[in-house]
Amino acid sequence: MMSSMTSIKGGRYSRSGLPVKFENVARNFKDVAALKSFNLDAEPGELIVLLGPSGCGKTTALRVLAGLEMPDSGRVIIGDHDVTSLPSAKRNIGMVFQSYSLFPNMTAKENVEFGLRVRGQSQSDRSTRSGELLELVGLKSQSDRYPHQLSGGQQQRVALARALAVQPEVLVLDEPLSALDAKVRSNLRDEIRRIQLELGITTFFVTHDQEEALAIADRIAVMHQGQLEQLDTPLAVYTNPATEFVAEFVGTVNRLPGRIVDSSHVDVHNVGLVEYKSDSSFATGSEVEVLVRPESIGIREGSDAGCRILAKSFLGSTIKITLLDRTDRLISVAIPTSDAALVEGVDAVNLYSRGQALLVKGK
Amino acid sequence: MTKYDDELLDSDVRPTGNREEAQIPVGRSSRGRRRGLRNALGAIPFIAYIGVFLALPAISVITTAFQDGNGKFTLSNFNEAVHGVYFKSFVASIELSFVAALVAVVVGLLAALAVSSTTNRVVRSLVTAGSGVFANTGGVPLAFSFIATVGNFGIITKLLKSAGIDIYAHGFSLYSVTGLAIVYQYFLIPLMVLIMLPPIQAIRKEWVDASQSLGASRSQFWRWIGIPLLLPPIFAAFIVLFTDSFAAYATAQALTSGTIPLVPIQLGALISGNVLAGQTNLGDALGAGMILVVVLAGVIYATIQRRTSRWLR
Amino acid sequence: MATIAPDLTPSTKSNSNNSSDVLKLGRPFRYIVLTLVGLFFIVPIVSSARFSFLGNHNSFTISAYTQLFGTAQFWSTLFLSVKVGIGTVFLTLVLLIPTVVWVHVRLPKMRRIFEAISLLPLVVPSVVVTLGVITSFRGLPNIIYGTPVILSLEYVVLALPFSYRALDSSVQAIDLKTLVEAGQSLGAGWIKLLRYVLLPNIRGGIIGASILTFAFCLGEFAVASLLSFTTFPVFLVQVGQLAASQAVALSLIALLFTWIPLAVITLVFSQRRASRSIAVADE
Repeated sequence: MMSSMTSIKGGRYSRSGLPVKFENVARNFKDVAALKSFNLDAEPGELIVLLGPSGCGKTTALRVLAGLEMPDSGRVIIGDHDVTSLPSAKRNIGMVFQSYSLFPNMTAKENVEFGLRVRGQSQSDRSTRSGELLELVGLKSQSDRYPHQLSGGQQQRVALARALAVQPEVLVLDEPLSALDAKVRSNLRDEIRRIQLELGITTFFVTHDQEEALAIADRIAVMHQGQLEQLDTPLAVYTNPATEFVAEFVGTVNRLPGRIVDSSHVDVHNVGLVEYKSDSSFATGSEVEVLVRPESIGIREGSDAGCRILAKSFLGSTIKITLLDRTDRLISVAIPTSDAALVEGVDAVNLYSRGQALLVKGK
Repeated sequence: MTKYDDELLDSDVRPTGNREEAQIPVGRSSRGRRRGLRNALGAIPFIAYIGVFLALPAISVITTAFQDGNGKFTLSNFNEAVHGVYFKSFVASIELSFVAALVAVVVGLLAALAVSSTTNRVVRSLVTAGSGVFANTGGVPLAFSFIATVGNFGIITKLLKSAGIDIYAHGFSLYSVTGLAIVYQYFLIPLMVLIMLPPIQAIRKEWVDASQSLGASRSQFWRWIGIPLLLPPIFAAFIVLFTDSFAAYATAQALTSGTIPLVPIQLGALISGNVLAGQTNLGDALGAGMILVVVLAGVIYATIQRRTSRWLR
Repeated sequence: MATIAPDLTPSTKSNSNNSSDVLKLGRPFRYIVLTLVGLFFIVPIVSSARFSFLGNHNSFTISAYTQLFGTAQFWSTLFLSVKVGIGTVFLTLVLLIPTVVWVHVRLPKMRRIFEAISLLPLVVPSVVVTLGVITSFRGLPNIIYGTPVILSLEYVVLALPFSYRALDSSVQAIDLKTLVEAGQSLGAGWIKLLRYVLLPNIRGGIIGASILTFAFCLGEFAVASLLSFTTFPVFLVQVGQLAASQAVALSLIALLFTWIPLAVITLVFSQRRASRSIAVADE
């Protein structure tokens, strides 16, 4: 739909992003610590997703970066400038909010031009720039509409164009998709990613939706109780979570009892031998708790089938199966749809390991 | 553009104002029309009641205004109404209402802004409750409590006199148009607060944050967003306050015993037969004139509103 | 003139943590404004109280009150106003509850239009209404036109801007249509629906509308005096021409009696709204 679909880093505005650094940032609200000693380094042009449950401090981190919230201590550095004490208006950060952030008394075009008007640019310059950006977000034809005449998704596109119009050094998005319908959400998500890559702008994206985070991020920063739990690529966060919290928050896990066999194998109840890696060494024979992803467990028929099938739900490319073992423990397994025949007309099955354990935890 | 079609269909347009359009669907089947008719039946008692006890009196005043004593059409009632003392009373009434409303708009707006800036819950609920209560005050008791305060022998008057300031010697009089304008503030200011609190609170934090992150200063936010958003409700409030003080009768009557030349007072005197009127239906002409002033105020309001709030439509 | 009902509409979109630095007035300025405005409202009350207890040579006396309570007319006019008020409240509820419910269930698209109709009395000043009543109802039987019944009949209309709004917003706050459909699916007829589902759910609105209407009736002067009925406010003006301190005492009583119930409903409604908006605000 657009001539400039090319996604070259550095993009057509030929600016590459700036590094962003949080250093020991802390912020308290009354008695609650929203951020405690938060550290994060973002590479130039990177898209970092701040992921966590509500109240984990991700929005506070974002607002501190944007200058809408002053940290109690610590520093925020953009490029090689310490911006900690700089007011929001002087930081040149483009921001997209959850929803309703468009100025209701201005058309889409006027909204996009707002930042330029503030900077005293001429009407013709503003028009050119807003035309360019509305085209970038695919809303050229809606420029004269007022926000209430636009759908939720369109409003967020305009908000993105408005944030980008001032050529910000950093782009900051605070759950921009959470108020949208599923379909619109995934469209716009891909769109944001495309534009971000095209412009090569360092971007922070806050969400509580792990699927969204996995899909869009260069690196995910999982946050918990005001602190960074893990900062890594989506794949690493998913397959190699640093903490139990990360393992549970990103994706689904089974917690199963097991007994250590040797330094790389653990015998998991009902599943059998599972490979693991761990920094802490466990004595052979010690009782542990093993965290295993549903897709790391396979299903096969057996004579003394130990697990009853409680429910099957078809999710498109996979089938999620809920099982109950003899000790009344629920186990969740995901098998590829191509293996559907395995569970057709079957009441009970045996399990086997198809991958590594995420984490092994001493009891 | 096909990619976006689904989204364009997603016409889940989120209203930014709290208005709802009253749309009447077109092209209904006859069955639907019959049901529509039956639905309308339930509203008849209400409509009929308004018709008999509001519309009928109002219409009879307007039609009688165009008749002479024998029921023949004439404009002479209006001729009388726009001359001499009656014309002056219209001017005085409009002046009074305009000034009183203007003062209340300014003071009330400041008070509303002050209340919405405080986080103190006690102050907040005190002012909200106070506004709800005082906006409904008025009439005779209000007049007497001001007489007790700054009347000829009022407590404050005497207090100031003992301090060497004789306000009545300096041209102040409670029993004047100025005095009335002050007394009216007692219900106009709280009314203004009540009207303005919701729109002020409807200014979203996101708009302020967004404007800041786009580099706007405090004054730029007000110039381009805050004031344009608050102006329509301020106009609306002004019109409400204006018509409110224009129609007020009790306070003025009790305060001045009918000596002040305001339209409602003149009309009241005509009704109770305290004045020898040259023409039988002069009162109806005054009444029609009052309705006209209120309607004109409404029309001016609607015109301004259409210009200032294009974005609401 | 009484003009507007306290805003009984539960607010859905604004919440308390919406205040922002840009909107804030400076702290000293804020308190100066609130203090001055507050004084303007308190001084007349305090002065009235002082005035009503003022005897000869600045002595303290309660004679204004004792004399008033000893006057037969005080009680008779108060009784008349209360009677008119009760009649008006009754008529208002009988007329408005079915109408508001009907509009919400059957004519939801006309809701704004009915709200606009309820505001029409603001367009016709009450003095003009009185004149119209005289010209158009003169011929009616004495039982209506010649008795205070006509006051109740007209007060229903004149208090409409407050009463309708109070009821309408309380019905708006519940999902009436779903409640009705749920009730009907469970086999309830309209009477049972009204009795067990609708009325309990809009009780707040009914109480609010009743208090506002009653307060209006107790204070209304223009129509009553011009139609020559000596209601409480008319009596008050008559007293004012004879004995200032008694009139002020009487005013104070009248003001307190209308303020207290109004303050109660405003507080109750604003608190309910506050709790609702807290429930709305997530995170």
